[in-house]
Amino acid sequence: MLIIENDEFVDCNFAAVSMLGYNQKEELINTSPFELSPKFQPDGQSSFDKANEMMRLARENGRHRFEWDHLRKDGSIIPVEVSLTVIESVRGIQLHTVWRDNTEIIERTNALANSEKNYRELFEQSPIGLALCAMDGSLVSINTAYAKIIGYDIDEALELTYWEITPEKYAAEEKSQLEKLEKEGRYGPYEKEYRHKDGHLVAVRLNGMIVVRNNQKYIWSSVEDISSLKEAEEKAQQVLVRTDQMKTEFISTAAHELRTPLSAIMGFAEILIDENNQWGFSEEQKMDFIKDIYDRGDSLKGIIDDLLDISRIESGQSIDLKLEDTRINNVVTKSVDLFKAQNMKHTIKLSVAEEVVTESMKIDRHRITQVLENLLSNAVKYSPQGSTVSVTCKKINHHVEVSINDNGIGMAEGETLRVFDKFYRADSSATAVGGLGLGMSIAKQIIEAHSGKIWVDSIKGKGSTFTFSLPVKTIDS
Amino acid sequence: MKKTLRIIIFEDDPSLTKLLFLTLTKEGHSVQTFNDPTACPVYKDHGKECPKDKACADVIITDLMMPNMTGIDFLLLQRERGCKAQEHNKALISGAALTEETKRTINELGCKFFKKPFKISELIAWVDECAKRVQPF
Repeated sequence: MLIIENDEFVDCNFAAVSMLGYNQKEELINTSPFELSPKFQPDGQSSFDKANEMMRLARENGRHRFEWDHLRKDGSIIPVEVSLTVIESVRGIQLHTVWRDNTEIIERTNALANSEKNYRELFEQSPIGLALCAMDGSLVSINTAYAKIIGYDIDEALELTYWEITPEKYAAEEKSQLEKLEKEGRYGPYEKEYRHKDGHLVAVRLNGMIVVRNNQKYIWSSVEDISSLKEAEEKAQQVLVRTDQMKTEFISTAAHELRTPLSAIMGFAEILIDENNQWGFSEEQKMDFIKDIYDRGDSLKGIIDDLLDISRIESGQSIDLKLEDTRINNVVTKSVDLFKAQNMKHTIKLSVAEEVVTESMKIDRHRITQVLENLLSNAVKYSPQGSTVSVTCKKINHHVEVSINDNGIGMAEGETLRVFDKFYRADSSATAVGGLGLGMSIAKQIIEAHSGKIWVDSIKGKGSTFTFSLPVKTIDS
Repeated sequence: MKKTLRIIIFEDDPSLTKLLFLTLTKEGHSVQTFNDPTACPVYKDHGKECPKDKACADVIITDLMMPNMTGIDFLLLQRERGCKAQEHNKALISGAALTEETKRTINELGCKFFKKPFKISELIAWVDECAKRVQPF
């Protein structure tokens, strides 16, 4: 409590002295209010001008109450509520001054404002759509994420009702969720779709509850855009269905591929075990049949090896490699020569670049031969009789590249992407070209186990070029 | 004395083709083999009836899974384009698992089905049965 006379403090109690951090009231006496204040008040007005104005108002009205920042002795600010009352005494007009420390109130107000600001920021910046909706469905408050989900600006969206963005087909489910909300005070989690501003449907997951404001009920909802999740689920389902189809086709094909050589084996064996030799085959022919049995047995072994390879790959094991110093030229030449001898109906040309002829590499020659046999066999299978299959072998930087080119049926872009998938066959099972559809997948695994790459360039109806590239390196490197 | 039949085989596996060709030839039949069904005259003059006045063969044996067309589609096409060979004297051979639809079609076609691996003697017995249905030339 203080007394102002002629715009100066002329007396005060110890509470006022203590409030400003002084020790004696003499330190306050004969000072003007603005002298015990910062230069400016929070509203930007100078303390000098404002103090004079406040005292004038008090004198005019008999009393005046206002908020004021004073300065403590240590330089810190103390917010106070000032109450000035005019007193007429023998000494003339005095202003009876009461200060109430506003620090706590201001701090509480600031904390409240900060808290409100924080929550507002959380609301605004939440990646999940948030909406407050009146019970009639009109949108009362929404955040940016919610507006984004439905494709409107916030202001535009607040003109809408919930029903305008909900497709008709959800009417029954909406009704049931509203009943749940009325009964339990909550609804969801509930998946539905919103109609986006551009007309497309957006898959969303909702959760919500009833909130009461000023005795008025509202629905508070959180809305997640789950369209990406739904798309991913749909894709995964499609992949699952496709894999399932491929596996079914594979089993049928595998049965065919195993039973066909078995038919030949058993048929020739049936002739050989016929003691009466009812068909009168010569000894030379019988020996030829034994060779056929051996060859077809070898085909079966190849199929079983492929099945075992793919089974190993499926269980996460890599292909075993027996790396040894090998001249890649020898492996390619030998494979091509052997293949030429077995396939007289195609012209097979080989071209090996000079720098590759003496190139020695650490590779598994049997596995690389397996890859070459697969590629050559496919080139022949899928190209017309009499056409040419060209094999080229060249060195590019630190890699040797082997390409097998044919003028066959070729592949569309989608097919080239799937050609190295297991169970994939260029021709569907209906009009099958022999094979299990495992060769390319195994070839890829073999080449990658050598730290190499395999790819295909193809034009539908024109032909394909399969290329694999192996790094020129030693085991040590 | 066995009747000499004209037998056509459509099979893309060389050793099975060889086996069938040799045994049926030894049985006294006249055997022709093709690895692709498009060799059949029903593929000529696309979309029209088979140009042949008489059946090309007394017995037709076809594999199910072949390049360009399945054995089933091939037999259906033969029927559609008026193949003169008897349908009961046609056989389908396959090692693949048959779908219900394929089984129904085979039944509808009235042809014989041999599941690989089959006994040569059984196939020959069926060919002998076919001979009974063939009129003398």
